[in-house]
Amino acid sequence: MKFMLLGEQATGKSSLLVALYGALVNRRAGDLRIVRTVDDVEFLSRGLLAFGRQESLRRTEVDSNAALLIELARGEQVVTVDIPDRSGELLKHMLDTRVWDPDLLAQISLASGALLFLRADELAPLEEVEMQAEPNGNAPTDEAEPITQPHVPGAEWSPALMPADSRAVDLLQSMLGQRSHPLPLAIIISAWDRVKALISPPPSPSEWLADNVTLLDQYLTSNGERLPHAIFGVSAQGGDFSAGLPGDMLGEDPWDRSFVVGPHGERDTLASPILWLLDATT
Amino acid sequence: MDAVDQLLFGYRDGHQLIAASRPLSSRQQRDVLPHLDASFDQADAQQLVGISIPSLDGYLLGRIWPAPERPRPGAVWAHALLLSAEQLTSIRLAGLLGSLRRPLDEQFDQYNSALPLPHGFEYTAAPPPLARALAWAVRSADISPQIVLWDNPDEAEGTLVALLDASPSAERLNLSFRTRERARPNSPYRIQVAAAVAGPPGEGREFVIDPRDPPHESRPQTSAA
Repeated sequence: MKFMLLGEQATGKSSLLVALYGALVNRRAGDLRIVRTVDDVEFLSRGLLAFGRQESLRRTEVDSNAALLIELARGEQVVTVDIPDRSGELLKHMLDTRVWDPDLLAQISLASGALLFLRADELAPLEEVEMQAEPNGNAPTDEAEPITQPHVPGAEWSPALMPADSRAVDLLQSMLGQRSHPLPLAIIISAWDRVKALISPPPSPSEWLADNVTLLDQYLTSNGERLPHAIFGVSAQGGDFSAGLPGDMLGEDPWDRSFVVGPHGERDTLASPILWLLDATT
Repeated sequence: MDAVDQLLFGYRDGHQLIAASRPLSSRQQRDVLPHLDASFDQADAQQLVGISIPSLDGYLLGRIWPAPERPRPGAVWAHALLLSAEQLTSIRLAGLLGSLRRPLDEQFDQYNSALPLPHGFEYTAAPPPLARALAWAVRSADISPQIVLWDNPDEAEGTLVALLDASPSAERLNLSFRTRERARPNSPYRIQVAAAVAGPPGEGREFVIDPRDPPHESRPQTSAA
């Protein structure tokens, strides 16, 4: 089964693949087991080493042909999973120019499902998150503005200036225009450790999306039959390396630091988005 | 004819065009982008690329460097010259290598105007085994892409451009090359010079030439990828 990774640059696509690979080979993926790797896994192994050194992954270059191509077993069922890791710049360029990338276009009809990546700390500024976390119950004094591209006075409007949730809806609308059958979609809210650290009690990923990415949430709800979906919070690194990991994480292996929170707030394994997609496609 | 257009790509909310001496359409940017991006293991490495870009009706000669000063790990700079078909066949290309410059201190204005063609040229010859392998790869009647293995691919730069210079005019547009740390199977380049080959063995249709430990025959050792 081929699953598409959809996300602009620095939204955590490669990081999730690396963390998932680490969870699979170190038996932290629940019922899901890795049978064998089919393709070159050097970039995944190097990624795990980087996580071990508490370094973020390097960006994926535009002409990268890397992929997570593995055979997975779940009970008696064995399935080949192919997840190409394309550069986020390809998607960004495609949305900015409104011209399909030929490879992405070809994948749409072939894909069994997709993972759409959004960054929690880009869609809801941390200051806003902190204000929501105020325990006194007072409402924030200002409505937080959604993050958009910097506005240059005098510059003409272009799709590049659209906020992230509009761009996500634009992408999904365009994809549905190219596909006649439903596309199971796992929404991945990356950098979930930031949300978890700053909001007490933390919302479920579904609640967070409804509160912070309203347009996308409404679009998904309105198109539930064509876009069956589930929303996951993911921290592939387990924390912010540049700010320093919490003390209790310092001695942990990368596959023990990373975590996933399921749609309703339950802690789950790194494999849960893939398991959900496998269930949704059968 | 006295000046050559130039492009600068770098990381600013994604790897993208930062400055240019001529406008590029969306399609042209998309066509150029994969050739002016790279992944580096070594902080002091660089890569050279030469390839024809049909949508630009020209030939791209560029160099890529790591940009560790940028906030995103893996960010790179790429400076490229865009040669018209006429320039490709009528000027001394070897002199252009010295014009490829990594930006310093966020100064990009110099990339917004066409670059005067340099007078004279510097040529750094490749070590003889590498030069022979490159010449053999360029002249090979076999149309399969070629991978030349060499521990320091940067040493191939001068000879690659010299071989482009020496090629018959009609063939220059078809001679594409790239130096990189790991050659890729199924790449768009006729010649890749790299220290290793990425991916499972036998995946690609490339011919691998390994002159690092040359046999006594005059022809470099070859094998299918």
